Formats: sequence, C-alpha cells, structure tokens
Amino acid sequence: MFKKKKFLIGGIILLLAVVYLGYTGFVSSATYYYTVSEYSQLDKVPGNSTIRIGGQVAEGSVVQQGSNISFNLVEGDKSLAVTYQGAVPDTFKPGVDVVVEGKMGTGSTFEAKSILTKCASKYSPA
Amino acid sequence: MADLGYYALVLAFLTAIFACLAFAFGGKKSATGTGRFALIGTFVLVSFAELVLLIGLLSHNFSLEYVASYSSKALPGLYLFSALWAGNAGSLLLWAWLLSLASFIVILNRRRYTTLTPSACSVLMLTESFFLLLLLATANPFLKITPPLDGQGLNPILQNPGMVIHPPALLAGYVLMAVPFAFVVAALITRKLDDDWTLAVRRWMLAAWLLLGAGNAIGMWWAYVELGWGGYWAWDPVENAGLMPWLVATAFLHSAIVQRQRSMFKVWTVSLVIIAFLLSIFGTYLTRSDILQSVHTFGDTGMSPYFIIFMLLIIVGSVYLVNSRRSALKSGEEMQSIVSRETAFMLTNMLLLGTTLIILLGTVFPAISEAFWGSRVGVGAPFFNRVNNPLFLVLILLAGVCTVVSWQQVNMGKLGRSLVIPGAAAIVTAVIALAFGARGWQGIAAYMLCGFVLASIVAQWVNHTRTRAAAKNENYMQAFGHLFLDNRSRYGAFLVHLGLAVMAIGIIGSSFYSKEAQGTLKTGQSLTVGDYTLTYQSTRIDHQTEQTIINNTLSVSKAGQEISSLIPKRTIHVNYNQPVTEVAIRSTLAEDLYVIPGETAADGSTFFKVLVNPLVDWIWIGAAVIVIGGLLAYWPSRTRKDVPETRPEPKPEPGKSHTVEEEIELEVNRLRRGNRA
Repeated sequence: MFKKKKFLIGGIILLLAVVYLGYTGFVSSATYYYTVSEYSQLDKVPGNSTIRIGGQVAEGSVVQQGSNISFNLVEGDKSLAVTYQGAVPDTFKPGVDVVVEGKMGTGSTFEAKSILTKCASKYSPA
Repeated sequence: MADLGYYALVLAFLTAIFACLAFAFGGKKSATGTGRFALIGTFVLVSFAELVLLIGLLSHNFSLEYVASYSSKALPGLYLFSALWAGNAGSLLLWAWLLSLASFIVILNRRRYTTLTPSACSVLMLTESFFLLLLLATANPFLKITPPLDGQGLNPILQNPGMVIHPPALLAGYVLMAVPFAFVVAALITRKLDDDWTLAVRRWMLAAWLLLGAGNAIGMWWAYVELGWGGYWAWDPVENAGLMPWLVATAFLHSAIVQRQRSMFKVWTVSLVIIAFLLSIFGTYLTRSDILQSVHTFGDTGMSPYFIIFMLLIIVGSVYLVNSRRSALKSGEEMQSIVSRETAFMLTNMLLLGTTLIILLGTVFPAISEAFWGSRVGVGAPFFNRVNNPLFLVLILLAGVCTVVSWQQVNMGKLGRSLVIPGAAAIVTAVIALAFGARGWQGIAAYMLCGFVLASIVAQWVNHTRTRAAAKNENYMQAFGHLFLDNRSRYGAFLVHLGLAVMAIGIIGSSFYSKEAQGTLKTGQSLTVGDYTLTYQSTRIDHQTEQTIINNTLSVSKAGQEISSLIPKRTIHVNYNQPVTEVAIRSTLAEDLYVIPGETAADGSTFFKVLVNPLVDWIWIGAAVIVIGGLLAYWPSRTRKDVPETRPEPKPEPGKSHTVEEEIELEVNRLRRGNRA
C-alpha cells in the first residue's frame, strides 16, 4: 500500500506541474480571433493585447515602400487599415484571405507583426 | 476507361462490406473462405482504381477533373506521379489503397494468428468501406469535365523531392495504425488477451511509427528549405496531427515491452493502440475540414459528418469493449520499486501521453472556445513551446536513464557507478557549450541532458562490447557488430535514443541561439548577422517561357574573409500568379546561414532577412539515425530462422529479466567459474 501511495503522490505532482505549465503558457499566448466585421462591432477595442484579425486583402489597396507595406483588410462593407514591416508570404496578394496578428496601433491602424495567408489549400493551385 | 475506375470503387465498396460481415459472422473458417476472397477482391479492385487514376495522370487525360486540377503537360514525370496524392480525392484514394494492401498482407499471414485474424480483418474491412464511402459520396477522383487544353499544374512549392515522399509516408503511417487497432479489437472480442496480440501488432506499430517519424522529419526539412520562413516546425494543426499519433505509438512501443516482460500495463497498452488509431483518423479529418485554420488544409470538403460519426463509433465501441473485458486485462504483477526500468517506462508513457493531450488541446482550442464561449481563442507557438519543452527534456533524460536502470529491484550502488560517466559528460557538455558562447541556463541545461544521454548510451555500448569480447574471445569490432546483429530490437532502440539526443542538440541550438537581421539593401550595401557580413552585389532577371527568375547575388564574408556567395531567388511561374521564394542556405555542421529574399524594387533594392541557425544539420542527422535504428529494430531477427534446431530459443520466463547485459554477465560468471574449476 505504501508503494502505491508513493506512485500516486508522484503522479499528482507530475500532473500539477503539467497543469501549471499549461496554464501559464496559455495565459501568455492566448490570442482572440475576429473577422473584420466582428472586430468593428466590438464595444471595447482591446488596446494592448495581441489579437488576430481575418479578412480579405482589398484590391488596389496594397502600398509598398521598401519593406513597409500597408493595405486594407475588408469583409463585406467593413474595412481595416493594416501596416506591416518585412517580407510578405509568397501567397500574399490583393484578393486573398489573410489573418494578421498584432496590435492596434495609435489611430485606427492595425500594426501587424505577422501575416498568415489562409490559402484554400497548399495542395490546390492559387 | 475513367468510368471503369469509378465502377471499381463502387464494387470495392460492396465487397468490403461483404468481407466485413463475412469475417464478423463466418467464424474461423471465414479467414480461408468467402471473407478472404472478398478481401482480396477489394484489394484488386482498389488497386485497379488507383492504376486508372495513375494512367489518367500519365496520359494527361484532362477530361478527369482531378487530372486537370493537379497536373499539366509540362509537369515532370516524377511530379505527375506525386500528383496522385496532391489533391483531396487522390490522397483519400491512396488511403483506401494502402489500407487494402495492409489488409491483404494480414490475410497472407493468417496462419500465424488464426483466432485473431478473422475479427481483425472484419475491422479492417469496416474501415476500408468507410473510406470507400467517403470517396464515392464526397470526393470522387473520377469526376469528368469538358477537357481543358492544359491542366492547371501542380503548385510549384510542392515540386520538391521531399514532397514526393513526405505525404505518402505520413499517410502510410496513418493507415498502418489501423492494423494494430484491428488486432486489439480482435483480441478484445475473442478475449484472447495474452501476449499473442502484442506480438502480432508490434511490427505493424513499429512500421507505422517509422513511416510517421520519417514523414514528419521530411516535412520539417521541406518546410525549412522550401517554405522559407527560417524554421522547421510551427505547431501548425496539421503538423501536430502528424506528431500526436507518433508520440502515442512511441508510448505503445515502450508499454508493450513492459507488458511482455512483466505482464503489467495491459489496459494502458490496449488504450494506446486505440488512441493512436483515433488520432490518425482525426489527423486525416483535420486536413479535410475547415474547423481549424491551417496552411495545410484542403479547404472544406463536406466530410465532417462522416468523420464525426466514424470517430464516435470507434470511441463508443472501444470503451464498451475495454470496459467489458476489464477482468481479463488485470495486471499480472505489481510495481516493486520506484527506481526501476518499469517505473522509467511508466513515466515515459505518462509524459508521452501528457504531451499528446496538451498538443491536442492546444490544436483544437479555437474550436472548443468557439463552441463554449462563442469567441475564437487560439494559442500559438509560445504555448506549445512553453508546455512541451520541459516535458520533452525530461523525456530525453529518461531516454538515457531507461538504458541504464534494470527491471524490478535496482542495485543502487551499481546504478550510481553507471551514472558517473554520463554525469561527467553532462558537465563537460556544459563547459563546451559555455566555451562556444552559449548563454542562458535553459539552453545549457538542455545541452547537459543531451550529453548525459549520449554518454550513457555510448558507455553502455563500450561496456557490452568489452564484456562480450572477453567472453567470446572476439576483437572489439566483431563483438560490437555481433551485439547489434544478435539483439536488433534492443540495439535499434539504443540507436533511436542516440538519434533523439543528436536531434535534440540541433533543435536546442537552433531555437535558443538563432540570430537574425533584416533590412532593405541597395546594391553595394551590406548587412551583418553574428560573424557574417553579407554584401548585396547584383540582381539578374531571367525571362524563360514557363517562369521568370529574379536572382539576387550576395557575397558572404566571415571575420573579414570572403567565404562564399549566395544567390536567393524569387521565381514567378507563368501558370501561377504567385512568386515562389527560394531561400539560399549555406549549411555547415556548426551553423546555417539562411537568406530570405523579399521583393526587388525597380531600382534593384531588395529586402533581405538573414538568419544564423546553429546546429540545424544535426536535426537531419539525428532523424536519419532514428530511422536507421528503427529499421534495425524492424528487421526480423536472424537468430530465429538461421539456427532453428541446434539451439532452441530459451523461453522467456515471466518476471525474469532478459537484457543483454545481464545475459552477458551470467555468461562471464559461468566462464570464470569454469576457469577456477
């Protein structure tokens, strides 16, 4: 019986450690995801937290200056201005669905830290 | 011709259903009678369908929608072949074909496991008919269209040799998980829960484990050299889907050893097989649904209801079967000591399953949070890294410890002595890491663990070799070779653990100590990262018929000395209004210099992102060692076939340990006694 107890205690400690790691990891990296129109209807705009916003890159809105890129993300009649610095993914172009991750900057421009292209399939042609 | 493919699938669906029923209700005779014929018939029919699609691709039959969507006249032959699984319908057809092939092999070996085979085949044919139904109902690969002049071709990023092997290897790994599952269900149904089923299952599971592992490793390599974001693992849902069954299969391979040696962990072992199969079905489903955003998915394919019903069926059926056979699954023995190999194995198992659950939770969290709270909350790479890194490090430590401790009661003094060399190696590793500029306790602690594992395995090898050389009067080379050949599964496992530590060194180096810099350069300007200075020399644009290639030449110097030049490229294919970035990598065993080109403006100025990733090559070397070790363990033992009569295999007594070093020790003692006498 004594041995069983030892194993049980060991197991519980292990479990607690995993739960702790999971919780802290979750708190530090959980990000909310909104579409452009969901985002525009939010009562409280999350100021300083990292969020993800999904939408379509508006035709004719992409402006590139060196490595700085700005474009509008649209969904229906709602639109959001986005800036990004760096190399965009290969599949990035007007008309594709993308998810931007970053923070709301000063003013009404979203400062993206990363751009994920949500291509329908990596297997099927673009 | 194409219609024949479709009819073959319809017929195969019917024969698979018939085979499933015949095996389920036909008793033992079904394995030799009607069930067998129906199963072989299914295999032949699905093979025929696969062949029809292949011929369609090779002959550019663009009246087939699938052929028109995934190939073109200009596509090279090798990629015409890989177009077979480039699309949703094609990869499902490959699933069905591989499963029918696996079932065929099971029925060929029916005489070995006469009681288990019929029920196992019934389960396999049920799964087969599920996939055939999916094909017929939602993704007919033989759908016809008015033929266009040329096909749309294969996505250029898939035109890479890694992409020819990676998807079918992963897919085959998923498929082979079905066989262990079928045997477990058969063992539960027939209540034959002794060691027979683990024997029947072990090699199948090992094969699935090998294919999944190799498939994942090739996928990592492909992502690194082709996708061009500088990394190899992003915790993408589909990557996770390939990793999870592999982790569970790893747990099974360990748990099955404990079950055979010590007749413990029975419910656990059975559950692992069921979970591995569920996860492989789930992985197949993930790529075919839009429940999660992933760069890998095929988009929504309308298959969700089918998959959900099938997975529920598996869960409900398995829970019922395991629960009703509880008494037959009781452990034969109790844990005896907290420091023993079975405890180490148990801990390994718990950690493997724990990390799998964490990964699963993180992967499906967006779907869960949307269902319960109405908002989509995702977790990113930091979550997975934070939770899994410590668990993986403990697992690596255990990979070393498992090889040192013995079963049951451990002689503490002996254990202490055998930990001296690995412990010393860990300290030496820390000193070396510090000398090479590694900082931060996490990275250095991780390196120490790797040093510990490598040394403990090598020390074991040296020990065994010396003992054997002395006992059998062989030289060290012979002794070492014979150890490997005579105990393939054990020494294969050693190699796998060694490869794991080597791979970990590469992963630690590249994730803790990578450096990067980026900027827009005009020709003549340069960028410095670590010891490297890159100078942008020139741009050349090649206009070809199929594509336009932009070549950016950079010269690389290290500590003032010019060492090479790198040419990252961007290719714009005519068929694809989309550039393909080709990164330039200067790879050495110490570190990779990785250059990602951005867009080149009219004046030639170009954005570059440059990374220095230390030790990345060791990831691929470690993965190769793991695969070699796995193959060694997979290879059938020679001793059984070559020496049948003269030296009968000693029957392993339950509860008595039979490890190589103990056998050698016994032998040495015998010899010594002989000398004294």
